[in-house]
Amino acid sequence: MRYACLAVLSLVLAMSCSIPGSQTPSASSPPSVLLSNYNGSFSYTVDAGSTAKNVYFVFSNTGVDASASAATVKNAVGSIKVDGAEIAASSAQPAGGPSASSTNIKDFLARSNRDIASVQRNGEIKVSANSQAGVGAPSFDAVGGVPLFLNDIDASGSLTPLSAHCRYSTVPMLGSPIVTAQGNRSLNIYVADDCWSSSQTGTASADEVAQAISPSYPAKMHVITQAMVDALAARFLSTGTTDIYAYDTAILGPEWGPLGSSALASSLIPFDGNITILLSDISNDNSDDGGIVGYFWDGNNYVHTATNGSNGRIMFVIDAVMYANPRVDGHTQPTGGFGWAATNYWAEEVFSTLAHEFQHMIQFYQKGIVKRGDGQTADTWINEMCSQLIEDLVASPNLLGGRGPRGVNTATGDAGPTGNIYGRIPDFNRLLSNQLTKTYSYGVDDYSFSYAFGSWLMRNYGGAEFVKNVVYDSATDAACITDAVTKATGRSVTLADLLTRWAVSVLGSNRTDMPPGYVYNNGASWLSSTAGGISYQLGSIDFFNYNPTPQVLTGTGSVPRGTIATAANVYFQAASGLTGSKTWSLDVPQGVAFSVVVTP
Amino acid sequence: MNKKVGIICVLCFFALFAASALDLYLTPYVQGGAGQASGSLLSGRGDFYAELGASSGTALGSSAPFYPILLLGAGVDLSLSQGKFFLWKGPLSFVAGLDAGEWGGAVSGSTAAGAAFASTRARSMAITLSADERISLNLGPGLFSFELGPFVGFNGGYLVQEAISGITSTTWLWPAFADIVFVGASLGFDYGFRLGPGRLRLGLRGDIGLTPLSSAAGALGAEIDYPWRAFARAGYDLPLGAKKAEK
Repeated sequence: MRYACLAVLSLVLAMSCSIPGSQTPSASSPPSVLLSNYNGSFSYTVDAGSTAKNVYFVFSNTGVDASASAATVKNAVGSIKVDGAEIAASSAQPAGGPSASSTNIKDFLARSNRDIASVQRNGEIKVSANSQAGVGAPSFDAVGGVPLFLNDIDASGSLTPLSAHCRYSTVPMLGSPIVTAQGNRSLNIYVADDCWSSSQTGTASADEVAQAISPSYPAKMHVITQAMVDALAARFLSTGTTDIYAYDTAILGPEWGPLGSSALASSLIPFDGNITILLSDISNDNSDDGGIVGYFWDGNNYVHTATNGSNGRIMFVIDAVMYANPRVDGHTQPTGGFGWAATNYWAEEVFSTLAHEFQHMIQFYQKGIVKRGDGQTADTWINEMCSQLIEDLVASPNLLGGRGPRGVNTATGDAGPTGNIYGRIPDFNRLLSNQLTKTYSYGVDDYSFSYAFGSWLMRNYGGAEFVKNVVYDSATDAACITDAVTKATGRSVTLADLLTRWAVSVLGSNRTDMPPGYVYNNGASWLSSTAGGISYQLGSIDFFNYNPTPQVLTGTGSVPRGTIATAANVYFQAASGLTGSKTWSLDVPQGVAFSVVVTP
Repeated sequence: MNKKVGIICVLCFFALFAASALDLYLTPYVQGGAGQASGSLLSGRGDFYAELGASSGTALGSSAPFYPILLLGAGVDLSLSQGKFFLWKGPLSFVAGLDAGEWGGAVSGSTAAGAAFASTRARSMAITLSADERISLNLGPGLFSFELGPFVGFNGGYLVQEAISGITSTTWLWPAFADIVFVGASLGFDYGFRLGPGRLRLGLRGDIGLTPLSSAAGALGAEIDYPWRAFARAGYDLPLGAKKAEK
């Protein structure tokens, strides 16, 4: 009797204390993921079973600031430690603000496009003394006509006039307007005179040799020809629905239109259906293999009496030297030969950039004027995210094609070859733990974080429709993203939630069976979405296919001491090939979410 | 020296009770039963499992939140009644309890196809001090007792056990300072049989926490609210300076 009682008691104790283990894994089992907000000092044990597993810890500093202009920012304070070794210390992140000494042109453009009023108040728009007080109306543009002196940004960041001739025009006076789903449009392409050649073909290395030996050769490394202009026009805006204009506006709507009752209406140029592209050597750097490929500045949408330096046109500027680069693969030491073609690396980059800049243009109108009326667009990291997502969408093989920011150009939707060095992901993999939500001093590395995050959001929360929902939301901060996710799922979500799920999705990107909400990789299948009658195909992303692969911290490798910014994830490989159980002691400060991903 | 002082104190204590003619019983017990809790820790896990088990953006998995888990405990009650100057007189008695046991709840998750793939059990290990009012009535061959009273609990730590797709994990966390103390109320009844020098008590008892076991700002970063537990309890009254148990 006594032994029976002891046996029953033992059984009861065993049942009480055992870990629930009835869930037998199968091929269709969801991944093993733990999301938590555990903090303080605690012990964590994983029993990986008999087959080897990799165990990753992710620490997410979820003290994200909802608004980049917030006066105070929530921050986690303290060190993250695994078995006593400090992984990172979470840091106080300044709420952000323009750097007074910043002369970075991209930074200026980003801040101006976000809120030109504040840029004007701060006197940050620099205009050279010989700037023109307004250029002619686009409706009088004519190919080969009189030169215009359009303002472009020079190396010092000043808006400086440069002589340019119209090389392509469809204005009604001379040609026929282009019929689009958004109404009639006209396209005018100007080329800066120092970037134009009517004689050079731009098809051979001979151009570069000639430049070196002949002082009479144009000062620029490569020059624009009529064929290049025509190719640009055909890709951007032509009759039908097979151009960037159609691809972008099918999702986001028109780039300009009625100004309604906007308080800014009297300061903005009226809608006339014209779009201007200026090809020039942006910032006068004569670089053909990197730099600013193109830009949209919302200041040009204002009448010059309202914004000094404005060209008073709905326009982009594209770098002529890069566009004219004749190296097929774009490399300084080319392996793919010479000869300009619209399929060259830099030509494709320019077309992708047009799609990118066009998103900025449309967002200024749709969010800044139509939705808000104050001309403010999304915080820089969100605005750049949207532009890169548009690039991703139009890189569909049935549309613009090319590698896009994903850096993959394959016939199927697969994640591409291993060792891939193209696109934005390699930069993201190299850095991994930068702050996502940067609005000021936004640099080239920050693009990779915006893209990595946005490409996950778009693949899980509505494809093309997701981008539209972000742009059409009146919020300029992260709320426009969380609102778009809520629209797609019907469930409310915070940016902190998204931050941790994104990190899990990055680590699970080599799996094709991640559940909805965690998908990057759909195998060879394209992820399709439709907008405005156009089908957009999104390819798979496997972060481990890129070079470098994600630079995840390990216990045996060198662990960089440093800080973890707000809205950043730190990835740590806690075990490789683990069988059986292992226990770690952890120190996680409040405000840092702790996630675990166990992969085969 | 200290040992002698201790013995003298204990003797004085019992002498005092003897002088006051208190009915005094010490009742060690063991108990087992079920409990559950609500709060963002478990509901958040449930939402997460439903998401993780989804087959499409709209075909979510499901979760079974807050199902009861087996909880165990043991403790000792000291019941007092009768004495001169003592407020509680038969059939009422005052019961001071010291209990060491578990609190908590669980949630499980299933895929959209209905296959269970995940579960979490979150437990808090706590010591509670209770102060119950007991009324006892002779009923049949034994003694029926009903008791009711508040308690104060001291949270000793959290044990969170999770299984997802065959991978199990266990997390042990100390509570944040603000989460150490919680309060609640208990009620119970039992039936006592005369056995040997004392009385065997078999009964049922329920406890409910009226303040959270865990707050969002605490170690779990999420809440465990309104925990309750229901136990079958077996105890034995050891008379200490008491009248002999008659039934």
